[in-house]
Amino acid sequence: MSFNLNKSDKSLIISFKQFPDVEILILLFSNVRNSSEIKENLLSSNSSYNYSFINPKNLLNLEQLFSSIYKTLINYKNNEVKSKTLNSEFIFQLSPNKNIFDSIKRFGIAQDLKDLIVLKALNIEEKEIDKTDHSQPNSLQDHYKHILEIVDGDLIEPNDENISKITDLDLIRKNYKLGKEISTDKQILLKELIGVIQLKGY
Amino acid sequence: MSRDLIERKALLLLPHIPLLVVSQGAEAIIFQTSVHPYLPQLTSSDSIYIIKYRPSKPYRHPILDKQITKHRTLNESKLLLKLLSLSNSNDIINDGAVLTPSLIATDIPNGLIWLQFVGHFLNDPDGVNQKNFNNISSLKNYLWSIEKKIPLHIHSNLKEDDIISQSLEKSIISINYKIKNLLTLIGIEIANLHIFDICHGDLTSSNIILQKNSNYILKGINIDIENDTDTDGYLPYLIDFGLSFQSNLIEDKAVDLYLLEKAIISTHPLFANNYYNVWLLNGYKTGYQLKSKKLNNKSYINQHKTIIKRLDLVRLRGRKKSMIG
Amino acid sequence: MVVDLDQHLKPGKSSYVAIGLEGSANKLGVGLIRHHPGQLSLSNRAEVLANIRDTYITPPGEGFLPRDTARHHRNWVVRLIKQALDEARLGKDDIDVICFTKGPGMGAPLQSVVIAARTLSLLWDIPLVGVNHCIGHIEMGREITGAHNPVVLYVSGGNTQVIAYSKQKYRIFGETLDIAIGNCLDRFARTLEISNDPSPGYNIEQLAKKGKHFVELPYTVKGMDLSMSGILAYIDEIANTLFNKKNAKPLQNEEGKNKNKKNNLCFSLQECLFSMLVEITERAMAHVNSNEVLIVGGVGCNERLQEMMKIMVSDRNGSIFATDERFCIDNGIMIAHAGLLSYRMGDTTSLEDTVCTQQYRTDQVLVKWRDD
Repeated sequence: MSFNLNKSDKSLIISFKQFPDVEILILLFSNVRNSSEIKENLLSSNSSYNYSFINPKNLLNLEQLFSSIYKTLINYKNNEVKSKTLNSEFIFQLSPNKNIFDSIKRFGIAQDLKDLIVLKALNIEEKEIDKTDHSQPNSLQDHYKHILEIVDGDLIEPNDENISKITDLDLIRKNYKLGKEISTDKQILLKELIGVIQLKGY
Repeated sequence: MSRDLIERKALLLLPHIPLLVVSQGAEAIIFQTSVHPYLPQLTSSDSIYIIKYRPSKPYRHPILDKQITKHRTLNESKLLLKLLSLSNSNDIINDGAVLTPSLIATDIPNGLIWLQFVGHFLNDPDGVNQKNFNNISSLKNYLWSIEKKIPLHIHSNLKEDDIISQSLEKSIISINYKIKNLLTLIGIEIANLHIFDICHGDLTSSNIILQKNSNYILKGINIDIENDTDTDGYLPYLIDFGLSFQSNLIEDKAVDLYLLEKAIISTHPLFANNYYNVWLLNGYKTGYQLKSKKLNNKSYINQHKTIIKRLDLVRLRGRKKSMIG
Repeated sequence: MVVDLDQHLKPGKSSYVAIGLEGSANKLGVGLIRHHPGQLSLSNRAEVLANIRDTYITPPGEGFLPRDTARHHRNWVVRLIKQALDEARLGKDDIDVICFTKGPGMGAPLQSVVIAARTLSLLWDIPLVGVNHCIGHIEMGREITGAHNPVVLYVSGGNTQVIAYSKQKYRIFGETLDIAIGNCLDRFARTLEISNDPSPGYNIEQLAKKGKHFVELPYTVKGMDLSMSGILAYIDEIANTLFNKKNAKPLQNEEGKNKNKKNNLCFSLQECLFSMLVEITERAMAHVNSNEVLIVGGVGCNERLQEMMKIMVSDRNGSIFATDERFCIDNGIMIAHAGLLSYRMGDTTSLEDTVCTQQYRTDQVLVKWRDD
């Protein structure tokens, strides 16, 4: 897997070995001030908001996110996607729930969300993987600029340290339905979450 | 499907992933790879990941084949995840945990599972470490490596079921109290598995992998151990849940134990009946006792008794009911 | 193999002849076999002198009951024995041993045949040897096909086992946890009211050949074993719903449609059951590291089963062996053959011990005539 963290522009671009033509841009924001606006634009299907807006509170670290993105691509290859777009599928895959609406609500952008992850997946032959996407920007660089325009927040480096500051264990326990005895060992908890994500839908 | 064809199919499903065959069973083929599906490769890494692939079987009707592949892959994955969460979010066997490789990724419709690699490679008889899966630290290989140290003239004169002379026994046991502790611990782990109402379905000494864990020490439990409580630094991991299933039936649990017993006898005939199986069953009993103490519930002791009684019956009839004719 | 098979050859005799009587289910078989001295091999084959059989066939929708089956056997046994001796051109003085099926099987039919055997023995003063029915199938299969040390799939109306030889025992590696596959097929044939002539299994096979659509059924392999009662219950339910007599419409195209449904159900049932058999056979092969498969027993005649097994075995670069209906369906010659092997090792069954037993496991028999 290729992992390109650009420390100066705080962007992370990854690509999985099995899907070498797909590049995924990952950005992390804190102090987001216009979550409600973004959400409204998403609800009204504004085509320039063609990104995956993910609530990082549900994440322990990047590994969890990567496992979910990977699974989404596998599902895509197997023609097993359930939601309307690739972007919504990225969000949906994080959730243990089969209900798309509920999943997007819990794992996607919420009204007063202060922290945000934004994802964009692109086929490097500059064709959108998602056939429903007719947006204008055509390279990850373009998308990067565009995302900075539409998100009113502070861009921070997308790394485990920053994410762990945002992690909300209570929310994870609730959204992943883990019951009272959540493991205090992060490694074990991570394995459980990844397991849930890998078996989502079955 | 011939091995070549299977490998080719696997390569198609896993493009750009280096694959090396570890073993091929009747149902699945195991590969090792140095590449993680979704994590960056660490520069100095010689990490190993396991891929279990269930290829389609050409003799089956395609609809049936898809159904079976999906069901088997899913069943195994779900059980692995379930054990992880049931183990009370801890990894202490004495606290009820069952240790298994963790699930990294799945591609259910295509019969693929990526698993954590557990264990390490034991040294060759010549002391060389070849990183060959024939030398994987399975219980079987570990026991064999120790059994080989017994002087050849004693080894060759020993017959199954011989009670070894007291002094010889003492010397074997004293250097191998660790085996006793280890097998006891494995017995506890199997008890934990059964307490979760899960039967492994294929317990053999090859399906128990020993993972080095230097910090591990049994926690103050009164197990009859000669020296200290260490198991040579090993923790036992159960692998290969391809034949596993959920069941609360006494019969199924007794048969599970019987299969292990028979497997130990066939791969370690000299020490199975008087040592290894005895220690395993003691550990099994301890596992139920620990649970009973923990929850202050005597029914676990009764469950254990019933299972052992049934085990006697299973042994007598050789595992199967008499034929209907 | 260094087993001496000729310690008990009668002085003055250049070969052994045995008569075998089989009647553990609804087939009554009488066979006469000759062994020449020495090891059995490709150059020293057993000689089939006669192999006669009569099957008790019940009307469609009915199974065979022990009492009626026993009556059939009693009615036919003398006739068949005479016929066999005629065909072989032999008389009572030529026979060394009378072999009969001791078990397993249905009580009353077994009994009626053993009485015939005992009578002959007393009349002609010839020793008796009781034979395990399954061992009969296995040894006859090995002899006819030349398979040396195969994994044996034994599938019949009353038995479903995967067997491998080890240290003088035919050990059971996998088997049915409830009903036998032949039984499963026969009962479904009854549900569909298919004719029992020549056998319900044969007729299901013919309908299955015309089936095209696969109906999903439960698949119940459990480790090395399998279970079939659940599948039978499930498919019976489907059939009963589809062919519910209350809703029967006597339209022509309904009849055509019904035929298709029958074909598809038979097809699906076979695909499912046979896949399970092939799977447990493959498991046993992997376990004992064997490359040969021998199919014996009545269900072994099924061409689709043979075809599926062949595909699996060729993928493993192995060989498959099967016999034709003379030998895979219950017959007397296999009893004669297996009994004669036992006899040559010095075994006979005294009159008091010729009690039949409905439950007689394959792995209870000590296979003295093999030393590998």
